[in-house]
This record gives sequence, structure tokens and C-alpha cells, in this order.
Amino acid sequence: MSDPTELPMEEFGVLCARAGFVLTDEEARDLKGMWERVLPDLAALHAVDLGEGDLAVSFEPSWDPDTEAL
Amino acid sequence: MVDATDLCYLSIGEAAELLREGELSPVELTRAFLDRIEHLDATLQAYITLMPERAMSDARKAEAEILRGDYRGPLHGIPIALKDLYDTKGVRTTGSSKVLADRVPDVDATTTSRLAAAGTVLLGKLAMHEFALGGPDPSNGFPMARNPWNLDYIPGGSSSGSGASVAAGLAMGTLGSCTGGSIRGPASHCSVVGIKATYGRVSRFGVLPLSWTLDHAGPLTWTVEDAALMLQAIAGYDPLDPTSSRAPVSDYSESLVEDIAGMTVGVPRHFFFAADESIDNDVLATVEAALGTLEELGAVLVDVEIPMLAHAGAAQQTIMLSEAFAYHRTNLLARPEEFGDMVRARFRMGGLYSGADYVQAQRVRKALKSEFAPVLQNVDVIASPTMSNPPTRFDGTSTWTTTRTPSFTGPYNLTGMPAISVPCGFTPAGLPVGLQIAGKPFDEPSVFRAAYTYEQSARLFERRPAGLD
Repeated sequence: MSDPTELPMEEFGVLCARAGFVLTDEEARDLKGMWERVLPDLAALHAVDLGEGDLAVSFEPSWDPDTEAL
Repeated sequence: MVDATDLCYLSIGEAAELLREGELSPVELTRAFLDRIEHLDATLQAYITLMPERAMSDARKAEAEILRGDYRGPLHGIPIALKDLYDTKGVRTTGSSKVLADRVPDVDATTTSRLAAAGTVLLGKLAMHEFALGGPDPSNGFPMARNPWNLDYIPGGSSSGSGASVAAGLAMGTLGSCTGGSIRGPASHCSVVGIKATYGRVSRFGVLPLSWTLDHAGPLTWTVEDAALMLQAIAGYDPLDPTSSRAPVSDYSESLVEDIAGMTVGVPRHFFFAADESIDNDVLATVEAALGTLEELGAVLVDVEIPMLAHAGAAQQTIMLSEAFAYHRTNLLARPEEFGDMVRARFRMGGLYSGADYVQAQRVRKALKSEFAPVLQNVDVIASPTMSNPPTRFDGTSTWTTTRTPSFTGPYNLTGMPAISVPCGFTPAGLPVGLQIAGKPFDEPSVFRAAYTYEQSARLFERRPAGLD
């Protein structure tokens, strides 16, 4: 049975191509290992149920907790 | 007669009094710093570029102005230094990267020019982690600042030289920059004070970006009073920074009172004091004692819950690396060999995230802010350890060291709230520990008041690193 956290190299290659990377085999192996370590946290991030909560202005300089919509 | 080391160990507040009264000359003070840097920096490696001629010229100018009665204020004649990502007109600004090794800006950063207008003396440009990310990386060919408390340990980053130089008496105050904790982290690891004010409070114009929506600029100093003096000089609206706030700037000196009687201090224990083997017990015990001190001084401690903190680390990394990749993409693809190994790997990670990942991270960020909002209506400040662990040894630091332990500073880069690190003790191994105090947006005065009251009680500013001289 394959490791669920392991990304097939072909799929990883697509990500790298999209980013425009030209990597040696060693660089690709190292980067893939690093990316696989991020995947569980990323999956957890996507699993957060935010309903219809929108992006809104998440870095409004004058943010005021007294008026912020909850 | 004050000896040279004692001069370099004065706080800004102490030196300002002497300078204003004519009992100390900016030229004498600057010469003492330049001599000390010459003596110690080969070991500490806090500086990338030293500017002795410019510093002496600044000092002579300050001396003449003060003598003729044109005293500009408490930073007049004070020797400072800047992380090497603050643009300085005519002076190389590298971001500690070969990519920008020969870059000489045409104009000053707004913060650079505001500090100059306050009459400071610029000693030089400070070591940092390449492009404000990663860790000490010998592959990038720039100085790697060492921790003055123990040279085998890192001083924290990315504002490594900013923290090390203040602790070692190689600058009275410095500027660092902070995307996930790069001001508070070195402050904690070097037992100095570091504050990032509310997002929008300090201009980032002319500061090399890492992540536009998370970047903050701010000072590192020996005392809370000094941090207030530095922040006062650089805070305020700047039309050149599109994220700059027009909110009025408080007089921070009015916050420097020893009084937290009745102040409510929220403590999110579920996150910052979690039973997690990646959080250091000596750090927790030291900060627990500091919380006890706050209580003895009259503060009311309240447990608070902010569940979304569990996802803050992933959201912060996703946003930071995605934005960093967007900024560095052209150079990263065209000349990757000019980036150090650590930063090249992490910037490449930023290119792997999808648009959906970035948007979800921003939505989680928004949800985190929404969870903080009701908590901030019921407490005055929030306290925690600054760092989840003490500094690591150089030989135990790798590309991913900082991502394997929980970030206690990153949440406030996501929310944009003001946050300070003030020294609160040492581990049994003698490594510094910081207390982090965060506040409501634009309520830097409460943050300063809590930190100042604690600092005056703990009096850790009386202890300097041993064995340097």
C-alpha cells in the first residue's frame, strides 16, 4: 500500500512545470520531500469550514475590533 | 569619566539625557561604538556594511547642532544601525543576497529618512537572513550574526544583526523587519526589546518586501523606553506606502508608567502553553513566572480561547511563501544559483501553492481576526512566550528548523495587531527567553505600559552578555 502523504513524481512534476522550475533530479527529490511535509497542514487548512465566509479585506490598516463584523 | 564599554551599554534614554545636557558628545559616543564594532564584530558578525565616515560626519553635525541649541529630541546624536533591507541612498542595500550584492538605492526608505531627521547617527547596515527568510546560511556568502549570550547559538532571525548588535552594545537601537516574527524572535533570543506596531503604523516604503500583506517594520532596543522613542520617530502616515494608516499617532512616552493595576491580560493557554513536545518546558516555566509577576503587579490574568490559532502557522506560511515567490519569481527562475540554498528552496516552495491555497489561507486569516475581535473587547492585552523554544545551535539549524516548531509570533502578523517582546529570563542553560505582549490595533500605548511595568520590575536590562570584551 502506498504512503498517503507521498505525492507521485509525475504529479509533482506538473506543479514544478507550472511554477516554471527547471530542476536537477536531486533538487526535485529534495523539493518534493519538503512539499510533502507541508501537505498535511495544507489539507487541514482546506478542511476548515468557513461556510460562506469571504476573503474580505483581511489587511485593512484601520481595522477596529469594536466595529469588525464577527 | 565613563569608560568606552559603559558608553556603549547606555540606553538611548540615558544617553539622550547626557547629550542634551552637553555632558556627552555625539562624536565621543560614536567613536566608542565604532571602536567597539572594530574590536568585536569579527566575532559577532552583526554588520554587513560599516559606515565609519558617514557616522562620524553625522556625529559632528549632531554635535554642532546641539551646541548651538538646535536639539532635535531624544534620538539626536544616538548611534543606530539598520537591517540591510532598509534602503539607504547611495549606500549598498543587499538583503543579504548575492542577487542584490551591488544594489545601491537612489532614495532612502521613509523610516531611514525619519530617523535621520530625528538626528540619529547611522553606523551601518546589519546582517540578516537572506531576503528576511530562512536561517543562517553559509552558502549565501554574507556574515552570519552570532548570539552575544553564547556564540555557538543563533541570535534568531531574520533580523539577526539587529538583535545581536543591540545586545552586544554595537548599536543603541536598530530597525528590523517582521513577516512572521523577525523582530520579536531576535529580541527574545538576544534578551532585548523588539516591537512591531500595528500593520499600517510604520511605513514600509523603501524596505525590501518579503510578503506585502504580512511585512512590518520596527525597532529593536535595550529597553522599552528606547523602543518607544524609536517607534515615535518612525510611526505615522506615509503617502508612499499604500498600506499606511492615517490614524493619529499616540505620544508613546506617556505610556511609560509603572501601572498595570486592574489591567486585564488574556492568556490563550490552549495554544501557547499546550502540552506539545515541540514547545520547550524551560521557556514555558520562565514565562509562567513572568505571568505571575504581572499578576503580582496588579494585572488580572484571564484564560481566553482562540481556536483558529491552530491553523495560523499553515496560513502564515502559505501567504508568506506565495507572496515571496510572486516578488522573487523572475530572479529565481533566471538565476537561481545566486540565491542561498535555504532561501532558494523555500522560495521554490512558494511557487507550488495554488491560487486556492492562497485564498483559503487568507480566509482563515480573516476568521482568525474575527475570533480575536471579541476577545480584544474583554482584555487589554494578550500575553504569551515570544518563542516556543530557546535559540538553537548553529550546527543544529537547517532550512526547516523554524517550521518544525510552533510559531508564537506569526499570528500577530496575520492579524496586524501590535506586539512586543520584552526579556523575561533565561533557561537553565543561560539562553534568553522573551515575554510577548500583544494589543488591540493601534493600542501600542497599552502594550508599552504592560511591557514597561514588567521590565521595571524584572530589571533584566541590568544584565549584559558576559565574556565579550
